[in-house]
Amino acid sequence: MNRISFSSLLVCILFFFGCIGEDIVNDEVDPEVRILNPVNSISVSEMYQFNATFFNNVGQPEPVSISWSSSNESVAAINNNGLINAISEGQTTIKAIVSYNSTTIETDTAITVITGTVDQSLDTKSGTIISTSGYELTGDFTLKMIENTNNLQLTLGSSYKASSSLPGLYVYLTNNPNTVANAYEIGPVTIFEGSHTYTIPNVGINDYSYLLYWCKPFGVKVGGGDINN
Amino acid sequence: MLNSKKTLTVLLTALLFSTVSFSQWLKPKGKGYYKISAWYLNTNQHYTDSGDIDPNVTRGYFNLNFFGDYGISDNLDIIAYVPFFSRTHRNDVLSGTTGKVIAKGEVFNSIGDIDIGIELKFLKTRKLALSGGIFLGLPTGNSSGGSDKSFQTGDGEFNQLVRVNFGIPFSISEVPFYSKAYLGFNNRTKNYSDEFRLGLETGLNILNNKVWLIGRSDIIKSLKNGSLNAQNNQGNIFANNIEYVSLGGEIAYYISKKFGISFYYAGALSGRIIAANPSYSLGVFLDIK
Repeated sequence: MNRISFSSLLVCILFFFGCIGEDIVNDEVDPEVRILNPVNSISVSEMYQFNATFFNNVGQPEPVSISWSSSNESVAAINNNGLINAISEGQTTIKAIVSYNSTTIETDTAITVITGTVDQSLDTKSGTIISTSGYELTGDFTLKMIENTNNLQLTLGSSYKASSSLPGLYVYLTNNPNTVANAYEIGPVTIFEGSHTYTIPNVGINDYSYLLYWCKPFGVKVGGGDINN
Repeated sequence: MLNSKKTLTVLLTALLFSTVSFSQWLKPKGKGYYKISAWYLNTNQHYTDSGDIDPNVTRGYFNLNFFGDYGISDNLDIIAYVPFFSRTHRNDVLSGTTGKVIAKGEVFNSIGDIDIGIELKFLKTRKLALSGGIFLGLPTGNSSGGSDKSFQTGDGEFNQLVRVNFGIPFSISEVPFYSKAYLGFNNRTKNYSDEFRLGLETGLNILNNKVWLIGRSDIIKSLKNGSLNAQNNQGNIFANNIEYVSLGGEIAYYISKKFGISFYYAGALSGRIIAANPSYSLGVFLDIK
């Protein structure tokens, strides 16, 4: 076989067997508007700025117009920028509302207006990890802001256990449990049993809704858990 | 001569495929069998460490390899397997919702791990052949290719496979058959677990010696005595403690007395940390008898 025909044969072989194809994943999630800094209570005459983000049908933050409302404006009024003004003692429900693809998506948070000093205790969230694959993955976790910082602490409980057979197992925070696109990569998993913690810089406790364990080389979800209040 | 094998350590797969010279026994002095093959595995699922089948992003493994078996004497063969071009790729991953690329695919080319070995005749009678061999797996491939080091064309370790082969020729209705088996122990280094290996093969020769039909099964059982795992390797390992039972079939056609073509198909019936899709090999061979 001469050089030209051998080269042609090689090109043909590589064309058929060495080309990158396409895998399509179902990554659709329910769109969501989320208040990122809810509070339980504020003092009479105080003002508080709510922040909310809209996450689209792939869990990606998308800039849209968010409108706000208060169910009891005699207790607290809120403007279109999410700035609340506490007027009198009582309870009200604050709603953040988005119009998206001809549907209305909203979320709410209850707030109490009190007289006196508000206890600004730090929020804690938690969840349970379950395996969604053939690999062992189980345990409980908590998320908590580290006091006087913008850092988040993820703590895996003593019941945590993961298979050490997987190559390239990583842990993420995400708003879409089907993909690591737009996810926050915490890092590779190097502890496979027992309690341990991760410090996650510059991430808020409400920024993500799901703790995800993902095998990078396989490109698949291994398991994870919803982040619950 | 009995099979020569090369385990291609590819991603989690390391799916064994075999290349074979169809005469059952060692080559006479000065004779040989040489083969150029293209081997391909496209895998979108794998056996997990518990034996279940899980999906994975599609990866392809392709190599062009040379296999040679030469009779140094009537009692000793030298054998080499050289994957002189190995290519691995991973597909693009697209969002089914937006159509956008979520994870870009990648390709990595390299030479693969080379095997060389010798095989020594212990006994040959009209009813039985016994031989033994040692095969050295040279870490000539790349064990950390690609952006995430998972595009591997070799396992990065030097291993030594010691093997004993048994073979019997027979005929059924004047059709020549053979059956053979091997037992092997693969000593692996760099904290990979050692392996027991077992293989069974039977073949028949039809159409006036023009066609060989061969069925083959290989079993690899890990001793799980290697300490390498994700825990002590920063989460990045490449398939230690692989196990599988594979079943394959080959058809070889002699175009002339010396030249021929062959096609091989194999897949894992069960396994752990190995691809769950079949592999294919197409080759041309020169058999100097």
